[in-house]
Amino acid sequence: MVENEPNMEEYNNSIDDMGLIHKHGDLITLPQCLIIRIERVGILPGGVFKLNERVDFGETLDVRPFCFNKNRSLNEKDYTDSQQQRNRTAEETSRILGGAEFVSGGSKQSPIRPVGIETGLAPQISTIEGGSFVAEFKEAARYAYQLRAVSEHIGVPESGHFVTYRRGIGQTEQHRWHRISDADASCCFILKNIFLHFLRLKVKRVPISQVLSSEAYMLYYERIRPTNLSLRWPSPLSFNFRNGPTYIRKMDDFPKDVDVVVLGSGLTESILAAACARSGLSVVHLDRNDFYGAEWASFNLQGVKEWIETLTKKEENQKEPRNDENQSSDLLKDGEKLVKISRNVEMIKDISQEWSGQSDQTTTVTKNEVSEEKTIKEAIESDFRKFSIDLVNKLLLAKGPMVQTLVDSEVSKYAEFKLVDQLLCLSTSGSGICPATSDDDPQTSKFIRVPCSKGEIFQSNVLSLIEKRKLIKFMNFCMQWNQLPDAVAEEWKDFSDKPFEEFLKAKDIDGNLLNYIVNAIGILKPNATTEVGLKAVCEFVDSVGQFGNSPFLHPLYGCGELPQCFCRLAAVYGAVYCLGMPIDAFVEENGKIVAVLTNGLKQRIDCRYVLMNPAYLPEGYCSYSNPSKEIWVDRAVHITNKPILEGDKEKITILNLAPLNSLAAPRLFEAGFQMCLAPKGYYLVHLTAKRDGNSDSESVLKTVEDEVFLQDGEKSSVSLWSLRFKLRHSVPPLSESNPSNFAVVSGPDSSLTYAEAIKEAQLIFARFWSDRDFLPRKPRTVEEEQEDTA
Amino acid sequence: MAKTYDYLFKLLLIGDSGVGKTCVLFRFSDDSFNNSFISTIGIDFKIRTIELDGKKIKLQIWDTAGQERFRTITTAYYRGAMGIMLVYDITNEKSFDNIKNWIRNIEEHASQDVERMIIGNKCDIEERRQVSRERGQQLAIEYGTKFMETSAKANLNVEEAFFTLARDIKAKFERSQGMSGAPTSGRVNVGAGSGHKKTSFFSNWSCSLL
Repeated sequence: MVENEPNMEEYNNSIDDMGLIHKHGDLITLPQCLIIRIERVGILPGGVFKLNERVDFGETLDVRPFCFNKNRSLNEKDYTDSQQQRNRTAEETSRILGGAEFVSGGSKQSPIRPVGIETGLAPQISTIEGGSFVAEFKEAARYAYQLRAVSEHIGVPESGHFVTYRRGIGQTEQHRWHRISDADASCCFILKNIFLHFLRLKVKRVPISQVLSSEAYMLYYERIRPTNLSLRWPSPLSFNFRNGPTYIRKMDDFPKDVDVVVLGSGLTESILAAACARSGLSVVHLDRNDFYGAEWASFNLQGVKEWIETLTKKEENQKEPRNDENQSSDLLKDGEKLVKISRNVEMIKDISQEWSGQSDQTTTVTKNEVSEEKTIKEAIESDFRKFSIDLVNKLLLAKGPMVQTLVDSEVSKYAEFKLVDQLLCLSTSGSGICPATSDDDPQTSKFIRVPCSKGEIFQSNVLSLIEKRKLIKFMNFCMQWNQLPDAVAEEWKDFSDKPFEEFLKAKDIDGNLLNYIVNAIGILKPNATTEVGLKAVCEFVDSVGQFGNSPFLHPLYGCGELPQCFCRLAAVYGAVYCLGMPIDAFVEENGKIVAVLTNGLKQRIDCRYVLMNPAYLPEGYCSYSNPSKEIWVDRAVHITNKPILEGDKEKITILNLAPLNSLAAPRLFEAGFQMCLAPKGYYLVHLTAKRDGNSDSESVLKTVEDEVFLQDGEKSSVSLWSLRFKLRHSVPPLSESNPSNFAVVSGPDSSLTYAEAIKEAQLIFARFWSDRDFLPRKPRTVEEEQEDTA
Repeated sequence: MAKTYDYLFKLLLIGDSGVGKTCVLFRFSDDSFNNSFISTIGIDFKIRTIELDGKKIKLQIWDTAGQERFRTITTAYYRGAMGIMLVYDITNEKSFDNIKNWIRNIEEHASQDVERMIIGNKCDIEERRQVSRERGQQLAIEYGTKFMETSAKANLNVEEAFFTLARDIKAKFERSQGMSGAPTSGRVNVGAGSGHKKTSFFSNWSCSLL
């Protein structure tokens, strides 16, 4: 199998009971270049045929198992019995073989020349650079080979084509792979210089995945020299060192050349960073803020204060014109154009924070068995760390795309989740058909607890028996519709584009049941048409039971955890992170962004692609023509010390408030200690509403707050502290002449789930890297499988 | 399926880039060592189950994924951690000074009752030592943590350090189980009464996504 036969010692040829000959060989010396030919021609009495078996090979190769060792017993197992044993044998092997320095020194004439064979065994350890090599580098590195090139043969033994894949040369090129095929080279016998010229035209850049999946005929491995250790591995597990960690050499400085620069650490950007890093691209992920998450971040109470301060400071800074025109000229090459990034796109606006009058009341705080009187405000502020206040408030649908992505990419292991265990809707008191009831107080409550699962529906006292039957019947219809919409066409087709409510009414559903279906189950899609509404019901029903009696999940410690979790995955796959990094300018050349200048125009990062949050858009890339077309998300967060609907246990609550304003479709989420969002006894109430350019949604959230908070003092919950702001969702219109290799993600949207963010990330990823998988599941190691079964 | 352990502890490694966190981790989990000076990618966490006083304890030890290089550890990294190893390099004064910063970081983001331990790594390279053992001890006393000098390379004290930390967590854990209610931090101590078969603090409540 290995070409340099003189380098090998064959010690064990055997024939097994199948009559197959097993040929073993060991390397005595380690050649600089290891060429492996894979037998592709089979011989039958009738002639030859092509062996098309796929052969697995890695980007790296650890040859330790194939090395000759004088102490080696014939039993293979001795090699792997224990780590210690392996270390010992490997060390001894190295003494026989010598280090890389010796080998590379002797290999100048020809890369495949059998090295060291003339001298028999390699020199003793002491002659290898005074032993310093051995002292400095672990045995793993000494036995490591890196794939340099692959030849592939396509066709039959008699005819076909050769395709060559080769790795680029040099620090910046070495992660790139190039494909050359002779398929078009009809004149390859022509003079050498012409031939080369011809080939140069046909070289195509390909991803490593394509190389590794090729039907290889010849594999060219090059020994990794100590200086070469900085190579990047495509994914941790394609690395063949058994149990070995994957390493890159520590860089003293920041990366200077990467495939992708991601600007902003919001959720969509972070998902993209993870997807890129996961697929083997080199990634630098930067944020000018010194926290993760951008508009998707979460803060504790102190953090909110600081966040507001920096945002207002930024606004002031922006008013002053910046005068640094000539600063960066030395970082620019000929033909390159500098495009400055000024902070023009406002992502968050109208922030205000206030303590309500109620927070001045005193309360008794008991800490370490010492009680003291404090105002509520003081009590809250002293526990500021225990609050986790999300800028974006969303839920995960148990069967939605976010959960799917989290599970597939295994990002889910970085966070913990809980079910949203209470669904409420506003009661339709006055309709008379079914008076609003709740478990505790049937008269005054304005919220109805909504049953989710079949069991809950039967136990519920919200719905009458007739309504329950109607509901189950309707659910069955939905299931039917989901599977074969055309089979039940006559029942819904006429209503397809009409409001969902009309359809339900036609199905003899009204009163609380109608309210329940439209507003609780329909929370996924406010103001739905019949078709959309039916889809929402199906999604909802499908998700119930996936993790429990509720279709919705929420991450512990808040939604701000999610971007961080994706960032961790990206980091695990080699992405480099830096926060609080000023992003100053792009360098353009031939209609592409070729570099990003950071750190006060002092640092240049060359790149192939740029993915960014709208906050980093340079002025020239977008226009700000029509503010009324902008879409914003209206947000308010309140701290309370009483849940909006009191029960025997602390609940995690979602409430659709769309009936109050169908356009803005406000909703409310409440959680506290159980979700690790607040100290015990306190709750966070998140309000979210959609706001397009024209609407005056100041009043929308105001109406909502009146509805929720302002009631007869004692009984209902009261806002102690509030934070209000608006988040930009829409990306400003982009110019036609923008560079082709960048993408802008939009800000957080107002919908309940993460479907939009995931979809956007997938689309952008597919736009640039359609040949790569989006966050695929990593293959399981033996260790992990044992772990799972345990 | 029957669990193969009684407790699951999440531990973190924290410290400057290059102090040997990953090496300590690999020494403990795989009993292997790599001498090359390279920063970590591809390491998420490692697991080793140890036995203490007849209890099987599964230690899930998380590496920083290289995010400490530019001081960009995610706050999510600290969530749910029960023990933190603060690692510095005895041949690198700066990494020792930075322990204070890391402790501040922990205080800000980690649970208040997290067990901490300071470790001076690379104690095999005595000739290049910049931080004396006494200074290490002094710092540990200052912050009320335990202290140990280790060498992942020479396999000195690594085992002991993790066992000590695990023992402390176990003691604290069992103590808090005895007490009823009143979780001291934002962590929900659910299922406290349900005996020793706990997998995590949230076992009965959280939905693990596979």
